[in-house]
Amino acid sequence: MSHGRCDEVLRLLWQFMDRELDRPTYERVEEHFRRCQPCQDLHEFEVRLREIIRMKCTGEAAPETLRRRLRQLLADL
Amino acid sequence: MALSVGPVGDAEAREQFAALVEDRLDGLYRTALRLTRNRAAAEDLVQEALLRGWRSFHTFQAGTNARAWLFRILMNAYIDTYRRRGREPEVVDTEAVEDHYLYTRARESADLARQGNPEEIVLAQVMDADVAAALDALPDRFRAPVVLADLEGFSYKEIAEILGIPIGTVMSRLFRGRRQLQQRLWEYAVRAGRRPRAPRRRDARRRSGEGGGGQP
Repeated sequence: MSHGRCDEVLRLLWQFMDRELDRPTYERVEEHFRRCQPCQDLHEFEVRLREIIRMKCTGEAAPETLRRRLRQLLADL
Repeated sequence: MALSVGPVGDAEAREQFAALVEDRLDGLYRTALRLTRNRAAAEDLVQEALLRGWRSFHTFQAGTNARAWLFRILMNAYIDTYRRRGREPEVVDTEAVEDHYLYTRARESADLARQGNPEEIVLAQVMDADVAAALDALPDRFRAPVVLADLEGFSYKEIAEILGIPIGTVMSRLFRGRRQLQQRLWEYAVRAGRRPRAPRRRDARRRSGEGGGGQP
């Protein structure tokens, strides 16, 4: 049982994606994905979903008005 | 042993502080926007956080995690301004929303299977969805860890420091927030699927207001 069971791997998937597993566990999950297509499919889906969420929610840069306020604030200190 | 900023000239400290903030201003603003859901309020919140940051800058240890330090100040400013310190009781997770909700629903949907590849259809619908609005609809205590982890890329340990809660609590709130977000995105996908013509990717005409919390 060197590469883990599906239920364990699914439970650890988010921690795996978050890079929050210790090295042996991380490698065990990684190895499982190489051998188990259904788990790998889910993994790929979650990775793409997170990328879409990040892309759609981080498009906005700090507006120029805020940068101006920051410069003013620093000048007034 | 980290070096303290120590007794430096005011001008020098100001320059250091400005440099510290400069690269992180976009992230601070984005996070403030997701917290307040309103552009003007987000600007005010960032300004308040920067004022507080400057006031406690002498306590900042050079070489320590400046980004987490700034975000912690932002979060505290948010809590002080918007929550008036009313301690929220920890909610027991009784809702039966399983992990990986969106994928599971997609795979189980006979409707989607008829239309083609269910995962691809759902991801295309999420592309079309107002994801920011779905995220904004989450309660504060779940939204904050999701924003910090999934949008800003902080580690559990950093989020624990920023929010002042134990790592175990970070994980349970983060995972619950993700499950709730997936549930909302699925509801969007179901609604989108009921429209007469299933939506295609509309990258060419992406809404300009996306990412904004501001309602008209």
